[in-house]
Amino acid sequence: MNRQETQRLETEKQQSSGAAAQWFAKLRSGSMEADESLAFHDWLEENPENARAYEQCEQAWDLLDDLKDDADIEAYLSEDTVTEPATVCNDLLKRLASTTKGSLWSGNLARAAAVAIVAIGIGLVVKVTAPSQYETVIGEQRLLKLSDGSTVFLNTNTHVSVNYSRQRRQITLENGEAIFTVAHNKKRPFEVIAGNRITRAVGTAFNVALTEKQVTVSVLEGIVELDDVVPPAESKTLPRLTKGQELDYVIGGETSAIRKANLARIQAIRQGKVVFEDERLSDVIKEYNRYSKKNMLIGSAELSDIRVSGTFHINDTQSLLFILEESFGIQPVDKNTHIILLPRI
Amino acid sequence: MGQRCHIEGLFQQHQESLHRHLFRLLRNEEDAQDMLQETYVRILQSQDAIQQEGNPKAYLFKIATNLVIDKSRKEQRQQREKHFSANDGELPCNGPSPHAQAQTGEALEKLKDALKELSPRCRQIFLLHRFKDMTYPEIAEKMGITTRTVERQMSIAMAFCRERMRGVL
Repeated sequence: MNRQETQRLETEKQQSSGAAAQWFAKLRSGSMEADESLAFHDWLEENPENARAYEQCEQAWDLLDDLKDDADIEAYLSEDTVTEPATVCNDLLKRLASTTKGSLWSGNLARAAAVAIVAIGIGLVVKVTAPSQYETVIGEQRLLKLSDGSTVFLNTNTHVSVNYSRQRRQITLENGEAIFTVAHNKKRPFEVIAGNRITRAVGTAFNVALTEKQVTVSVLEGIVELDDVVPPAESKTLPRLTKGQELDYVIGGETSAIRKANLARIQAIRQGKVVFEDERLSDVIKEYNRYSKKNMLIGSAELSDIRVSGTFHINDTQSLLFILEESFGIQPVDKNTHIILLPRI
Repeated sequence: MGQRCHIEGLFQQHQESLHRHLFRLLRNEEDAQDMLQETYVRILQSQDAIQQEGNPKAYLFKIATNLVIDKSRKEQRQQREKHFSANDGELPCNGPSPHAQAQTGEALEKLKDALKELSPRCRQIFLLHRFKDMTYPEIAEKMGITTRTVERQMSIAMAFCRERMRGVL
């Protein structure tokens, strides 16, 4: 390669570099116009160096994530201007506010206290013995990471209280559905209370769904054991579930036989998706309504038995409606507070 | 019906380059396929808009690109939430190899150096967007500048970081 050629390549590289950062900043602005999107596409196609330069911007951006706890970064962020307290403070505030309503723990004092606690160390918060409450609203999902490394994925409209002690890790599912991924620790059993029964695990992953009077327990990995919250007078063998199995129990009542769990459905929840396999429309709508404040209603009995298969994103009503319209000849009528599904005339 | 055929034709015509575009942005075949599918659903939903659009191809790319932006924003938010709800979790040990870690370490050092050298204002804009999930308009309002300036400063910061990370990325 001669010198001229090297120089030309060098200039090209520099040009790509500047443009890549500009495109990157443009994309981050949130939305692109049609002509810009096409120009961006053309630019990427124009030269492999461009695509590489853009890719490196993305890599640098990803890598920054590793600096999120960095003290310097925190210091930079609080330079000159006053910054909002970090999300963790807001979370904490909410939690404090919910446990001590209307007391001194409101307004500025709570904010100051929360900031102080965070400053001393998050470890301190964990040591508070009162159970911590975590909730999601309709349509919200949230991954909760606990101090022992276990995680709880809260599905829509779910409420759990976490009560960790030296002897045991106890979580009560007050409402809704959650997937528990348990960090292995033989000495501290992990227990989930739903209704009158306890699901106990050592190191495993399982889903517990509570609907009105019934609970479904499904195991994604490992083994769980089902016990009663109040031990019965005579001892009995406890039902055990292994990977891929599931059972229901009515609170205070009967336990179903063990059956095969639909793991694909549970795994999809974690990606914010709901999977249907040849299910009745009425069941599909029931499931959909769990995730949306604006419920759908079937306006004509003849629609109830339509079989539906597919996947939808929990916050994407439009796509579901679109599929119902296009593939099943259903006419949705939007009534503001709810949507009525009618056969198209 | 005719409209639908037209849209399908348009989609098919550009499918390949659209897929390449998505793959480049997402760096993952599965995500690229998902987004391609999603783009298709979106254009079917907005048939009227695309009819009125002077340049349907551009419109197609606009939808796809904005879907990618939305997705990356959502993922970043989730990442953050995961992080902030963590107490002092022991992380599972399936991380990168020691070699990859050393390399990341070097890249991180360079990145930190680059940030140190940026002007405080430029740096703050960059970091507010990165770590506080603030949008350009939010940053603009907070700092009393225009969103154009925010975008320009973002671009400067990124160009500088990339420059300093030359050889490690």
